[in-house]
Parts: sequence; C-alpha cells; structure tokens
Amino acid sequence: MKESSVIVSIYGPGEFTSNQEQPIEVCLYGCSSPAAISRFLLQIIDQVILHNQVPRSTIRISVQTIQEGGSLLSTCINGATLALMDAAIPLRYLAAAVTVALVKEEIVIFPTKAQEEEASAVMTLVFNNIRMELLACECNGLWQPAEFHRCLDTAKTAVSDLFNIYREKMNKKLSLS
Amino acid sequence: MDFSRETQPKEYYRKFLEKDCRPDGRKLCEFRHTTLTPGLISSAEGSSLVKVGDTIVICGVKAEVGKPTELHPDQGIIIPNIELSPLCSSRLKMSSEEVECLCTTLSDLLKNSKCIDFASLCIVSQKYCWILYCDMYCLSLNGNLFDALVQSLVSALYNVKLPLVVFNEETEALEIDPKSTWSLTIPRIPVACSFATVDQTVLLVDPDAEEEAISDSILTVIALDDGQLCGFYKSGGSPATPDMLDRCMKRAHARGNEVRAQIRQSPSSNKR
Repeated sequence: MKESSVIVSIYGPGEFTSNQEQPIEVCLYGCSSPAAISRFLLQIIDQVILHNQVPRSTIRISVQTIQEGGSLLSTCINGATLALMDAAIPLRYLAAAVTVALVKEEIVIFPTKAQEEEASAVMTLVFNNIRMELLACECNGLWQPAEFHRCLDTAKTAVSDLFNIYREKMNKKLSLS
Repeated sequence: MDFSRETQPKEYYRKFLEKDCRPDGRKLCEFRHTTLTPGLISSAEGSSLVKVGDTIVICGVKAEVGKPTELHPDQGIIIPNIELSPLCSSRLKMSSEEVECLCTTLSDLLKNSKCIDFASLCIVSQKYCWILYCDMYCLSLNGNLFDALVQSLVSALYNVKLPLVVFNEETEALEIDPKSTWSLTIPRIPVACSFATVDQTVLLVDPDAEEEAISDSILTVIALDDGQLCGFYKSGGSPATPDMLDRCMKRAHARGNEVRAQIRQSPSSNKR
C-alpha cells in the first residue's frame, strides 16, 4: 500500500499444546509499535476465524514489516486476511481495512507518513464483505461528527475496490493450480 | 439458589436485557454514579480521585524541571504512567505491553485534543521546561477502566498548581517563587465514554467487568466541548451499524457535558 509493505505468513491449524494460552497468536516483526498493532489485529482475526471449524488448534500469524510508511495498520490487516484466505482457514467473512486521513478538510485514502503527520485526523476503518459493516476502527485526531460520516462513506467505496482485488487474486491463484 | 449468573452469564443477562434493564438496576444508557475528588494528595502538584461505580482510579501529578526534547524544544512534556496491580482485580489479564499501549493512547490523546498548551510549560526554549509525570493507580477495577483513566488524568491536570519559575539571565539560574502559583489553561476537556455491544444489537453504556466479559466488542468515543471528537476506538468484534455509531456519539456528548461540569465545579478549582 503506497509506502508500507508487509509479508504475512500463517502457520496452522497446528497442535494446541498445554502451555499456550491463546489459540491464535499474532507476532509482529520489524515495526516500531508492535503491541498496539498486534492487539488490534488479534481482536479482528479472532472474530473472523470460524473457531468451531478448527477446534483445539493453534493458528500463528507472523507479520514481517518490510517497509514502514503510512497506513501500516491497514496494510497488516489486509495482508493477514489475504494470508488467511491463502491458507484456506475457514472464515466467517472477509475483513478489509482502509486508512483515511483528513488533510486540510480533504479526505486522503491510504495516506503516506508525511500526510499522516500533517493530517488533523487519521482513521483506520475495518469493514467486512457482508453488507460492508464496520468491524473495528481506530481514529485519532480532531474531527466533527459530520466529517466522520464522510470518511466512513469514502472508506466504504475504497473497501469495495479492495474486495474486488481480493477476488481477482484468489481467482488467479486458483486458476493456475 | 440461582447459579445461572456464574454458569450461564449470557443467558442470565438476556433475561434482563429483554426488559431493557441491567442486573445492577441501571438502564441501558445509564452511567454508574461518578464522583470526583481533586487535590487529595497534598504532596503532589495536582491529583484527583475518580470513582465510576466500583472502578476507582487515582492520578497524581508531580512536576520537575528538565530539558525539552530535541523534536519540540519549545514545549513541555507530560508523561502519563499507569499502574495496574493485582490489588485492583483478581481477574486482571492485561500484559505490561497492553498497559504501555494505554499510556501511549493517553499521551496521544493529550496532544491530539489540543487541550493542553504545551508551549506554556516551556521555561527557556531548548534548556528548561516543566516535565509533568502523571501516575495513575487503579485501586479497584470493575470494568470501564479507560473512561476513569481519562477523567482522572484530565481532572488532575486541571488542578495542577505549578510555582512560578523565572530564568535570571545574569546569574543564568532559575529562580522559583513558591508563593505565586499558576494553573494550566485547559480550554477544552476531553471526556471518554465507553460502550459494550451485546448480541450484536444491544448497546450498554459504561460496562462493568461482567458486561465486558459477555460483550462482543467495546466502543469508546472521546468527545470535546465544542462537539468535536478526538478519539474513536472500536475493538474488532460484532459489526456496528451507522445508527449505532450515531447513538454512541450522541450519548458521548451528553456524558461529556456532565463530566466537564463536574471537573470545572470541583472544590479546589474554584480558586481559579
């Protein structure tokens, strides 16, 4: 996504050993604020995966940051969803994330690091592909409620494009094999 | 005896939600009784004790003169720190990294909301500035920690009294006048309001620990005086409809006005 790039790899469903606390583990490498991102990512993935289809199994998601620029959080979420689809892990729905920034009253989708710093508000919004419902969000900055609705609408359009990209990628992958 | 509260908490709760109320007698949109006691710690420059139902947080602000950061040489520094000891809850599961995340969120909140004039904390550019250490201790935790933390932090900063410090250019030393004190100007007060969603449609305001455990997701809205928002966090979970988001924002504004009135009318702030 513009400035940020990540590689996401999934190990699982694997054996659940007694010393593990959580069935889903998220590990982040190479980024500056791993704790915040991993917590957010874990909560979304926990909801997306159909746990009753993978009982007593562990799924380990490793996110390696290649380049940290703007919109890192949404890049990680999109990477994780694509990796989950690639691993054929049963999912309830697909999740796609968009980072929207309000730079001088203009809405910028997937801002660069410089734009994020300039922006009056930066919002990471995660939607599912059933009815485009808002699954999770993290919004920081200063904005009016009306601007929030504008950002939500802009994000929904961007997310529907993302879902089309997901579909293309999966079609391509499945048509080769 | 009815053990369903422990064995089937969600079913137990649903019986109450059908009648639009909660086990502790509150309505779905009602906050727990909130009390605010400023200036409790006389040795600190500012302090405040906040009780939101059974969740109790005390915040103490200690001030120190130090060197400003390279990035912001004309600004003071405020460092929030949160201590969550096992004392507050037997079911506490927060790791130290998550607590650090909370500290970063609070620190970002103070900057993003522009509620504090950091430039006023600077004494001499690039050399001396006020560093405020805000230590928040959770004494008791029964859900909704974030709202209590934000309220205690902001009200403690509202009650901070710093001595007047002047830089004497001849002697190149700082002169402190302990008799004259000044308070921080906080023109806008951010107030956090958290909600829990249960069964995808029901919205509970100010969830306690039991409600947080049965919830699908937690939504937090941080509202300012003039209707602006400076934070909106929703944990991954059940999807939220735009109608739900609107209700949250509206309730957060109402709650914000109540809390701001409480902070501004509290006893030691009458001297301002």
